[in-house]
Amino acid sequence: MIATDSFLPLARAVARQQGLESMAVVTIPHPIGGVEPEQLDDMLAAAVDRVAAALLSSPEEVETVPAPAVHDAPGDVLEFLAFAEERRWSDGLPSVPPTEELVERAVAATGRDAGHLVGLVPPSNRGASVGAIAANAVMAGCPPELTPVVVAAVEAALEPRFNLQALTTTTHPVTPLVVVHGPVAERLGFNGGPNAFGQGNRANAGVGRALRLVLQNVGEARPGETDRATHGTPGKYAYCIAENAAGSPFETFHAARGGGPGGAVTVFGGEAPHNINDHGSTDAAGILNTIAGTLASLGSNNLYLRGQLLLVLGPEHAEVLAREGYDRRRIQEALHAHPRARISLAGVSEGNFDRYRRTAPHVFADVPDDGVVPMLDGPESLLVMVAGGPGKHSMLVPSFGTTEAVTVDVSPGPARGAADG
Amino acid sequence: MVVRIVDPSGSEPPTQRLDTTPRPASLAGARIAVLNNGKPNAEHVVRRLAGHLAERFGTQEPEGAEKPNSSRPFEAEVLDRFRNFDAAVVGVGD
Repeated sequence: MIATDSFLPLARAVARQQGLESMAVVTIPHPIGGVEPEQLDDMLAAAVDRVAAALLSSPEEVETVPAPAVHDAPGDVLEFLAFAEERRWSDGLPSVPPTEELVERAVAATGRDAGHLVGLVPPSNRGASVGAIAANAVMAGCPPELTPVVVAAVEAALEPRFNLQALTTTTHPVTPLVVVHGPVAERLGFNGGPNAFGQGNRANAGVGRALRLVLQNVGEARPGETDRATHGTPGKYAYCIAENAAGSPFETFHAARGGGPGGAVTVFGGEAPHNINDHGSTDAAGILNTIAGTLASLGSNNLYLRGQLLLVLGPEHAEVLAREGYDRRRIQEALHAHPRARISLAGVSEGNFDRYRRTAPHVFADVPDDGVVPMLDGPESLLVMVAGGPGKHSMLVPSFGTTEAVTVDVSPGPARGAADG
Repeated sequence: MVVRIVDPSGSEPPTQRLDTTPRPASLAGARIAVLNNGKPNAEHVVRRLAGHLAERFGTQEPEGAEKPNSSRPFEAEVLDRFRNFDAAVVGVGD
């Protein structure tokens, strides 16, 4: 395997994941992109002896030592934090020691066995059992009753169509956004109102952070190593909101996603949200114009990897749209067809245009160099929900592109006598 | 004071270690697959390296495949084409 040197830890992780831990890897200097191909030739000629030697070398046996299931850790706060950091169980913020008692209570709240395997978390492919998820939820500061929401979020993120492998290892600034909707959001005190994306709510912060800790501690998505993000995004600490169902003048997101009676989570592989400020418009046409203009962005993965974007309407913008008869479907159709939701290729560099044509020929193959292309493949590429409080703002969350939102019901847990899923 | 804590790193990966075929003693006449990960210049890198291998070590002309989207894995049927090759050159990087 050839790896640019910055990507060596990821190359090793992928080899291990495929059962070829000892695979020969030859490194070449990073980067290979962003230069003319011929500029790489001397370096490639110099690397070929190492490639030939690697192809002829026999793999060495690699021994791995399984981690113990429990540890004796220091009870002192600062010493515990150092202990956790040494083992790389840290996102940089302080964490709660996942004592056996706290983890047991968190597991009990799920109504499942600690050993129940929810799935394998890439890129390590280590197993996320309910017990391990509960330990991370405790570390993130979740009270026991939030654990079923964390389990549902992990389950959703592990659905193959979510493409977690690519999301956690990419250079792109993406992380799973957890949207909590249905009765569970209110029952457990999630915030879908003022400052929904911001600080100040334990449920939002705890669940968002717990999912990230699972990706890091179980999946071994490690910044600068296997997590190759160029900049990352603040949502990698915690990225969780609730739907503002009471502020939704049309069918709720929960109903549109087919969520169950107790509530559900939807995970969305999103960038940071981008503001849609419209204080001036007094009618639907004005607001749609502003949203469409915000949709059209040269910097977004969605331009060439396509896929979904999430529109989070503030309740006041939603109200103006609904007053003129717009429901979710009409909003989606209007924005898909909107002349402002198009990108002029006159602004796209030749190198990017060539890449776009190969990646999304259905959009770019037959368009002239000075033509325009739509941002959305279809109306349904735009997910629409209502969240936030009073004010004339909405939010647009572009996605990684090669990912699909996934919805999973939150198991009601043992208190309601529901069967284990 | 010591507290007993649960390890948050989950269980060992169940991935089965794959057996690799014995390595060839020489690259002369070897069939080499070159797999391009879809990133800019990746095609140039793997092709050029394979060209050098043919020139200097006498491998057969390499055969290749490209991922149309670098964010997705290769399709199994693409990889099946290379099942009986002697070696493959693949890439991770940017």
